[in-house]
Amino acid sequence: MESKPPFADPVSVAHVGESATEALRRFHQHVLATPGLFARLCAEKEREGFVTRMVELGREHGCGFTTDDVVNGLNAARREWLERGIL
Amino acid sequence: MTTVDQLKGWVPIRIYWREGQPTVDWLFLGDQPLSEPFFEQSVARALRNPAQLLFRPQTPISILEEFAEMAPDLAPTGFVFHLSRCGSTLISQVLASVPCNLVVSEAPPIEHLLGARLRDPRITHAQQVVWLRGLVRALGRRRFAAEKYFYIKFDSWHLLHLSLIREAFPDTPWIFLYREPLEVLVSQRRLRGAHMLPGVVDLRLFGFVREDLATLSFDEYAARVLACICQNALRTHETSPAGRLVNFSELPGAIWGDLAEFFGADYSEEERSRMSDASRFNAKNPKVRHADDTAAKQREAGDDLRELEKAWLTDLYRELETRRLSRLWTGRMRGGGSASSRR
Repeated sequence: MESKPPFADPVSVAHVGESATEALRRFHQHVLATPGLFARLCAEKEREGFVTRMVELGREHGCGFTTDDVVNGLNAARREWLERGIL
Repeated sequence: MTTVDQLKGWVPIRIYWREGQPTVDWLFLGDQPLSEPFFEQSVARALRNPAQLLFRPQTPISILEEFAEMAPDLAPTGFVFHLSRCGSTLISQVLASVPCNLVVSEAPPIEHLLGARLRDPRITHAQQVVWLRGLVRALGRRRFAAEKYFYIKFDSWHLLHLSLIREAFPDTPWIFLYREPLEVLVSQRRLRGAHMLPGVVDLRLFGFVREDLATLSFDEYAARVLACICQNALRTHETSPAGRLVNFSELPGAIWGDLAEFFGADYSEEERSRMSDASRFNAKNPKVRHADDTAAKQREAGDDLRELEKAWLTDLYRELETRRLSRLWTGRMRGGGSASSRR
């Protein structure tokens, strides 16, 4: 895992359950630092398959979060993007 | 590996203020081209992929200073400014139809950066120039081996930032595209662009104060915004040999003809042929064939719009045309490029 993450947290991290926040944050940094892992996630173009793959890969890399956490993260990211010009 | 290296394949899609600090939002585009008529549409397509939506690095804006210092993958070939509703999307779509051109069309992060000082007075002019240089470097990173030329089509009101843009890129050729203002007013009345909705774009940019809004109709607001843009185009053109005035009537042939020459782009016969083919379709809706709407717009204009045009725009349009035609005639006398459309 990256010891000094170069990027700030994604907006979505702040919107998931408290227990999953740290795990998602670590996984987010790890994915951004690992192009192969990011490519595997990009290959999951459908939401359902992506959520399942996220949880699997998270577990493989020692980051425990649930499908609900990922769905909440996706919803938050989508909402934040759509509202960007309003807020 | 630096953060700039890590961001290879990533594109800045937004500059926003997060906890009071300007921040850049990055999207992975990889091998996905900017093929839609507008940058934002290509971004929207990419964001349908859940991974691209969720994994977006957020960096302080200072990252753009690092980009500004790096050697550009693609230095900007040309800048397209315009009056709006005058064929600028035709230019960008025709250019984007050949793989050797990277075309960034009305990218929101450019708007965010150009408007940054109005929003955040802590930002200095010098910072804005460097950040703009870095932002353009980041947008102009080569993602396809075929890319040779890099064009930016700005939002129409960005012409009011032309001196800043030229400070960042003094040698980049630029054009100002316009058409008969009455036709622009008719088009804006049908469907108003963001800058024609009072307050959406900062009023101060056009020299308005809030009290003006109580007395101005939408149409007069539009006429005065267009006048402000034309005035600035004329003023800057006077002192900028890198600038050229272009009338809608010169399109589309000028794109792969005179303008390519002006921008220093050398296209093959096949590329010119592809651009010509692309020009036959509606730029904003490429599934539909292009149809000239000049006569329809002239018919649609009522006396009220004609009066507004006369009050605010007729003299400016005449001056733009005088200068443009003067250059064309001078070129002809010297045996230079054609003055006519190559339609």
